[in-house]
Amino acid sequence: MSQELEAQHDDGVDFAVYLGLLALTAATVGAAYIHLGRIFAVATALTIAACKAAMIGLYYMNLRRERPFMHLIVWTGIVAVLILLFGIIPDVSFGW
Amino acid sequence: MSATTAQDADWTEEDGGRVGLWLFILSEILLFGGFLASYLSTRLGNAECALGVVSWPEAGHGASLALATLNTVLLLTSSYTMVRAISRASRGDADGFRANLAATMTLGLGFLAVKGVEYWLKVSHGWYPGSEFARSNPGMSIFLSYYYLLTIFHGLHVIAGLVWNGAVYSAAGRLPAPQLARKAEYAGLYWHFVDVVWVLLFPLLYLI
Repeated sequence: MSQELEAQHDDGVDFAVYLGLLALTAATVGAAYIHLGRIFAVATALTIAACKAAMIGLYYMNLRRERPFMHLIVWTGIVAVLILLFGIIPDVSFGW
Repeated sequence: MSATTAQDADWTEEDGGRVGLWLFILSEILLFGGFLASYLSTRLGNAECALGVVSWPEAGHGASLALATLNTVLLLTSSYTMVRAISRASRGDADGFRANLAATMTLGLGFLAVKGVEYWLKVSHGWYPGSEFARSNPGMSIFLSYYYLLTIFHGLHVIAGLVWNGAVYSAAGRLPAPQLARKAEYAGLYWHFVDVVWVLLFPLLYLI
């Protein structure tokens, strides 16, 4: 197990991911000060957040090297939440 | 039966532990996902709460955003030190493991301290559900209810993560390296998930 874990962690990659996460944090704060309009503001914020979550999941939680069964578990949750989110679209106020 | 055993022969005890932890994380995804979908439906579907309506007074928003951005950096850094701790544990470097896990816990405590300051600032300015200010701004009152619900709930998860990390830290001296690496990995998975939740809460509560 320890050899397996050791093989899964590369200090250089981990640090690069960390720098990427900080850069995306700066980007999402910066984007909030640009008046993109309601829809683009939400889409930009959620897209950047999804990218950060994916980086943490794939690299820090090692999902990229996990068994397909673990991916099935995670996607079950993601799809369930997406169903909830898309279910609210008829009630969304876009301001149009 | 024998065919099943042969097919599953490459599954190990450690895999079973990770399956259990990922199933636990699945339950947390559904829990937070339900709250977030509810928040978004209110924020996007309610005219008084809709985006484009000022939900934070500008001055207060600035202070909140600065503190929340600091907290984001603290949690992201704690995830990085957690990864380093797991890596050191897997290499049998007990001292490196302790140092990085101690840094992780310190950063987690820092997150809670900053959050405490933010709560104090908000409450002292009357930004809490039921205050006179909130009653005069119905949209704000709804927003504040979600804000406190989601951030306190997340804060409780941070506290649980700190307790878990503390338990693994205290076990470092008496566990053999492979066992310590496994426990560190489990604690790390939970800690990273708490980080992921904050990564989603941050833009939804402070930036849109």
